[in-house]
Amino acid sequence: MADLIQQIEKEIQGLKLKASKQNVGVVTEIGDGVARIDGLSDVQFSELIDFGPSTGSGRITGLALNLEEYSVGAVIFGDFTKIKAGDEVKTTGQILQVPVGEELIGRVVDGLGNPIDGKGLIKTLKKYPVEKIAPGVITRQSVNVPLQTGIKAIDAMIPIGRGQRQLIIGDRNTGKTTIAVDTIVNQKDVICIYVAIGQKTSKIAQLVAKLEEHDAMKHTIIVAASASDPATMQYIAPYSGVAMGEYFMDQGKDALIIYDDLSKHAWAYRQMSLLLRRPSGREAYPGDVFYLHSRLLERAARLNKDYGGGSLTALPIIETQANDVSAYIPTNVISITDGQIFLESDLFFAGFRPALNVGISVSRVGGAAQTKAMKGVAGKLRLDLAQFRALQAFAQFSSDLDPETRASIERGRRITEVLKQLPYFPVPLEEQVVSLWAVTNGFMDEVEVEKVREFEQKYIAHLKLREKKLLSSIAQEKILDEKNIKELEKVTKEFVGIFAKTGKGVKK
Amino acid sequence: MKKNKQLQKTVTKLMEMSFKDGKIIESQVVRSIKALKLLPRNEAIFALTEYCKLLKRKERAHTMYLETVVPLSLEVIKKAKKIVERTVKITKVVTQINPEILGGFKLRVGDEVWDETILGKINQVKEVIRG
Repeated sequence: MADLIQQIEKEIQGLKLKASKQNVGVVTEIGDGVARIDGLSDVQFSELIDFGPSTGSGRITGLALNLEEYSVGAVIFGDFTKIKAGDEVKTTGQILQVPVGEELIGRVVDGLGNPIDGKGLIKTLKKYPVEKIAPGVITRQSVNVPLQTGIKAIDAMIPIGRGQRQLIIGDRNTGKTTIAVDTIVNQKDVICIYVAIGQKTSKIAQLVAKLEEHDAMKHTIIVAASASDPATMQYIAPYSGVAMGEYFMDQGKDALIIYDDLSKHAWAYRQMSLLLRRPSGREAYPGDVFYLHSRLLERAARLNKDYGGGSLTALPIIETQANDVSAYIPTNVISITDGQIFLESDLFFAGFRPALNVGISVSRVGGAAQTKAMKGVAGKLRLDLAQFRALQAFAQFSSDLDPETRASIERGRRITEVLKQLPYFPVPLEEQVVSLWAVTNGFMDEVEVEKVREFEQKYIAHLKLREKKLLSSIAQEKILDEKNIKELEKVTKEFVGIFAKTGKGVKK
Repeated sequence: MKKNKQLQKTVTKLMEMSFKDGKIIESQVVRSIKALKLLPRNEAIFALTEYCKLLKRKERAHTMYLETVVPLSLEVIKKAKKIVERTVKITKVVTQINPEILGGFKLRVGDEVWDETILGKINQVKEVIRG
């Protein structure tokens, strides 16, 4: 008790009480998280407004978004049911800030950075503004370090670099979140921020449990604005998340932020805008919905050495309706990002998981960041797959194929099998390289398609047991030189022989 | 109701004409209301509502509201008015006794509030402790 009194005394020791001049207004209209306030003549755009004390320990705050001649339209964060018409509100002279720092790692917070995981208060030393201008041209450098997702198809054909913005797009239940979670699980030196927007609380809880199960929460922050939260919280959550990520980027660290998903974010913004009586445009979205996402995604960057060399990679997720990528929000986000990973429900239900459509998925800048080892195998892989896709359609109409065409199709089938992967089991770079090298160089041509995955597993296990040095040299040097290739050829031939001897799944 | 910009401009002009040096000219107000009543009914309702709103807003901008715990002498009120008039013309002074502020005074002109109350100071300390 004495300690507490001493602490309070210490806190108020240097306090100078002063007469404060405040700019006030009166609430004239309130509803659905949006308030119209008469007065507040000195309020600035995006300024924090004080609505008075809430039922809890904190205060209800709002954000001035519509500045009109005599009134102000504001969005409210917190319990807006406690506010009534006639209440006095005042300006604060501050902009909205969220706590940032290492202390947030491993925690689940709401859109304003308040903990919601029941693990107690988060005491951070710093706060960052939620809205911030993205890093300029002078501070940036091009993307040149890969961000390994652990997913073979992505790392080989749609590589992501640190500081890149790569969109994950697809219908519901096509494995968008799984790709994001896999990427988080695969990170070792990258701090991950997962922003859940408009999702079911149970789904968020499941995700946290999954990350804890894979020991990934120790480098992850979850910013949750669930479907039960007001639209205002869903609107602000991604900006809070990116502010948290920017802190790590400014510290010279690498961070990854996942926005799951921006379609619901746009819905929340549409709701807010319509309630604020802003004019609506296409699909009833307001005119600035492009800027809403562009200013958010532009904050992902790779800083140059003079500015610490940190990076913030963004993986926004967009949910399409019936594979329609030409809708308003998908086209907007596609044009903002540096590439997209397109997931298809047809592929998903056909058993190709992750259900990537490698034909229309693209990474515009990630290729520069790809390791030499992966680049070496990925070129041939892409060619073989493209050839397979072209021939597969043709082969459906003809049963009598020449041996060359048949070989191409058979190779393609095996490559597709190798690219299939179980969720939450990311594959390290060196294992990806050797598997893809083996399949593209025809070492799996003799293995039956159904047995390809078994072959791959045993092959990796064999390499781990016998050629650990070779794997670690690929992992460290990230290069597949001639010496390595010769050695791999020798070992792989030997293993094919062993696998054939077992007599299972090998053509005779 | 859809905003009629031309009508809104007219109403604003009428409101400005109803004031002279921050004081309401009653005769002008009566004349304005009569004129607005002549409009079609839906427009008249909108115009009169807007006119009243603007009148109140303008009047509030020139009124000094003083909240204290104990009644103030005329001299003190005059002094306060003189200080405030350095920035804005005051045409009306409203004093109010409010024991809830515990001590000191709270002065309001338009959207500006100067809080010199004990309650305000306690709240400042509360904010510091809360962090």
